[in-house]
Amino acid sequence: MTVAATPTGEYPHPLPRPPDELDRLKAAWALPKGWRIVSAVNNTVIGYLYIATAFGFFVLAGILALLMRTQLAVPDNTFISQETYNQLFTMHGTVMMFLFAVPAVEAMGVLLLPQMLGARDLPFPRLGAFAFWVYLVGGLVFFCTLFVGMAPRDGWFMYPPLSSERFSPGVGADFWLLGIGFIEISAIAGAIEIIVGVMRTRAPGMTLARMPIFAWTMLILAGMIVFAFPAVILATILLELERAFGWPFFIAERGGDPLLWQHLFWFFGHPEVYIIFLPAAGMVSMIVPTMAGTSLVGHRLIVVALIATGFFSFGLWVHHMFTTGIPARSLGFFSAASMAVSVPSGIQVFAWIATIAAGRLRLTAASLFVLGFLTVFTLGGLTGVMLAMVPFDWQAHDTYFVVAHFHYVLVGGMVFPLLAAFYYWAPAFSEKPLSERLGKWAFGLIFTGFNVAFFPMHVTGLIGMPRRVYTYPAGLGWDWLNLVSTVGAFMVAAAILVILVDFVRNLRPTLTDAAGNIWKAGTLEWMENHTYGARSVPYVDSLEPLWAHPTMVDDVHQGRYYLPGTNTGGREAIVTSAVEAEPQYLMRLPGPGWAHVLAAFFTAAFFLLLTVKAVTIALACGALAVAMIVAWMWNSDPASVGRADIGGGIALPTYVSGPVHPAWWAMCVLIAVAGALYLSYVFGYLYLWTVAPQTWPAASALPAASWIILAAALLVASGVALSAAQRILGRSRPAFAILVAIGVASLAAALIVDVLSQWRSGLRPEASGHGAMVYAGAVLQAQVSAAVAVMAAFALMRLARGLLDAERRVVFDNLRLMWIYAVGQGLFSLLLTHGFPRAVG
Amino acid sequence: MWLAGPIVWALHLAVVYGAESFACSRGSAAAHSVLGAMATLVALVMLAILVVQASGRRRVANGATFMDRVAVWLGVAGMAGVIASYLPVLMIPACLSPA
Repeated sequence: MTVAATPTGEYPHPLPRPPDELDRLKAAWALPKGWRIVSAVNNTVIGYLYIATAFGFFVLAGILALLMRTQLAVPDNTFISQETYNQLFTMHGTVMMFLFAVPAVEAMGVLLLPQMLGARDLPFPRLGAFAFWVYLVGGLVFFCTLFVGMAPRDGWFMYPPLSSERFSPGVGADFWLLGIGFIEISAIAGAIEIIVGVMRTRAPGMTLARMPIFAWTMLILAGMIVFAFPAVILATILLELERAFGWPFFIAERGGDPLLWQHLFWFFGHPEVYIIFLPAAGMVSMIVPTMAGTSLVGHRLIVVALIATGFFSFGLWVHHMFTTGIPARSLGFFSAASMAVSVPSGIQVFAWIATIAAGRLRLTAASLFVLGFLTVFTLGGLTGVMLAMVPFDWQAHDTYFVVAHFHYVLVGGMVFPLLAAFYYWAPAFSEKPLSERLGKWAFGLIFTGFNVAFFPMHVTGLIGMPRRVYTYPAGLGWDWLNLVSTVGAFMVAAAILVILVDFVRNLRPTLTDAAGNIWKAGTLEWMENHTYGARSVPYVDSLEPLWAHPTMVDDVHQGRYYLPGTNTGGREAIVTSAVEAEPQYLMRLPGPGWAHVLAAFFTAAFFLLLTVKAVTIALACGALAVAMIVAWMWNSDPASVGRADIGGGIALPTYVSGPVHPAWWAMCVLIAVAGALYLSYVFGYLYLWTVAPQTWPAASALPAASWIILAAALLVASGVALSAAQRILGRSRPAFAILVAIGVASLAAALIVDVLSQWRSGLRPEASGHGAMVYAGAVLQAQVSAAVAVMAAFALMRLARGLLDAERRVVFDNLRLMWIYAVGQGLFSLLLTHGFPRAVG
Repeated sequence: MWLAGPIVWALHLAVVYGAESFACSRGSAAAHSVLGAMATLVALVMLAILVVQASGRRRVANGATFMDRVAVWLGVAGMAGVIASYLPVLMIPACLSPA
């Protein structure tokens, strides 16, 4: 059978196609020429840039590692100073985790997902491009702090009190806090793009059951980013408030607790490991079946294992805190969860081994990297189970054993699969494949070098060498082990050099003439790969459509499937339903532009200028960033142009609103981010009560109930105004505008009343952990209220220009969602900060 | 409902861990064991209902059928996780300092 099992049983479009159809498609998706390529938003261009930048940061962080290993090669070495060493290990960890690992896997998603899902592009190309530019600018500036002696030096997890103003004066810690904070904005922007892209732009017929494992892993990765990253964003906000204004969240003698930072940081930090690992596992799940020439064994079970791993990874954070004096039973909860997570991870490993056993593995460079991954990651997993046992962890905590463990997990679980992915997917995006000979040399060097470097560290740690020491005296038994590790590190560097040589010699990224499906793979990313993806969008009726329908590549190229041209003359994507992938809507996508690029630069400038206390200029840049975002969003809601025929008798609407529109999904994800941020805050608020209830005010010292009632009434009034505005949208512009203005003013007034009531009761943010937490809650409420105000102003501007009415209402739908959330969070805040102290007081 | 298994596990972990912190700060360790047992029972009953319902559901659509099967396995995984989280309550006294 050649034609996929479309609903009609026939190709959606007959041949021959109109002669100018392909030219119009190419024109709609054309890239800007010359230096204007910076304004491009195509997923392939952004994907290339993203991957190149991430790999560049990998090389830079690797160089820092070599400097450290050189220093540690012999005892009592004076190659670099203690201060520089502290900066090096901080930057090495930070750059590897925040500027390489997460961006690299997101970049692979941006590059591969549209092709793999049979989509023209992801649904918000400018958001994806914005995420990249924020990351590039912020990452470069952050890295350059190393050259001017302003780099952070407190370790990649920045524990207070070491990172407090008292023990880390200067701007190094601030660069980390604000720099990482806004790089995470980039990660979250990318996650929103990926979630909505995977859920809503799959090719018709690609139900969740037929979705490639890599797409599953990217979906889970993005979901984990949404719930994990807000915890560290909150932590960085709190620590920066403490450093800048003396609000004592982490100062024990004033009712704070340094362990709060550890809880928040590791609630992000442990899932981070799986955020990095799961997409890598997805890549392996794509490579192994192709190289073994058979379908993946246990597809459904792997999906279950991936979801379970994603969830369980959130229940492990305390295993980084086994030595902090937490009650033994609580340690038991997290020890059990830490061991439990090895079960779904193990399922995946066994599924890959079973697939290899069921097929006939071709020993290509990509296969070798996969085999290396299986070996190294499994070893890292085993030492992870050892560290999950509390008594063992007490002995090995903060020693080189832990360093060895997490490098086995992270390098084994992410770098090996990424290199396998480079060698595997290069022919899909490059004129030439990478060299198999150089690839195998690189594998031999990196596999040997890695084990030479890191296996001895298990022993170094068990005989007592702590991590993060810049030198050590001779005669402790550590000397030769460190020397061997250093030799291994340089072997790894040699391997990376070989790979870079291979890149220079063979990698020729292209959007017209890729080497193609040389591995005989079965998934859609191996079809043609132009600026518009493939010529037509196929119908997918199996997990490996190219294996099931050998002529699909030609059929797609000839335009026999859906949407072989452009209906509206511009860029378009078919939006499908979330589970069954039934076509629902023809979305028009934006082309190249400058507003999102400028928004990224001004966003970066805002955060970085705040770091150096240039507040006025920073605020100006922040305002410009908002203005640029408004400019970029202005044309993102085009009016309907009727129904569009995509073939096969399917005519899709060109305008929808509500839950069918991808923007509604994006807003829901954004609200989930805000909710996760607020839940982290609630955890912190309650946590400080459990550790320092004596610093909390007595019930008599709390604000009078009348204030709370007034604030709650204002919030309810805001919600009522929103509801009324919704009802008259499209009927009376002035009344709508007045209601929106009243609603926003009520929202702001509620916040002011709340803050004023606390202030008048004598509560000060710098006085105690409780006071700091109360005002931090107000900061969070101010953030969402400000977002509502900006969105409301945007809606009113569109209303004034006739771009918002009862039909064309996506902007209002999004405003409404955020508004409801803001009112809900405000009411809950009142309950928490006024009700809880009364209840427990 | 497809994700109910791991969500119930996460809520159960939050309750038993949060309750211990609360109980220990109030000096009422015994309350934690009772609360832990109740939370575990409720969680297991909820997951059992979910697994039975999802495994008995019959659908025509390809994606929904797949996700029902996924929900069953996630429910089973959730039950295993809940039991694993509860074991320390049976074996270790509440509020015991590790030192």
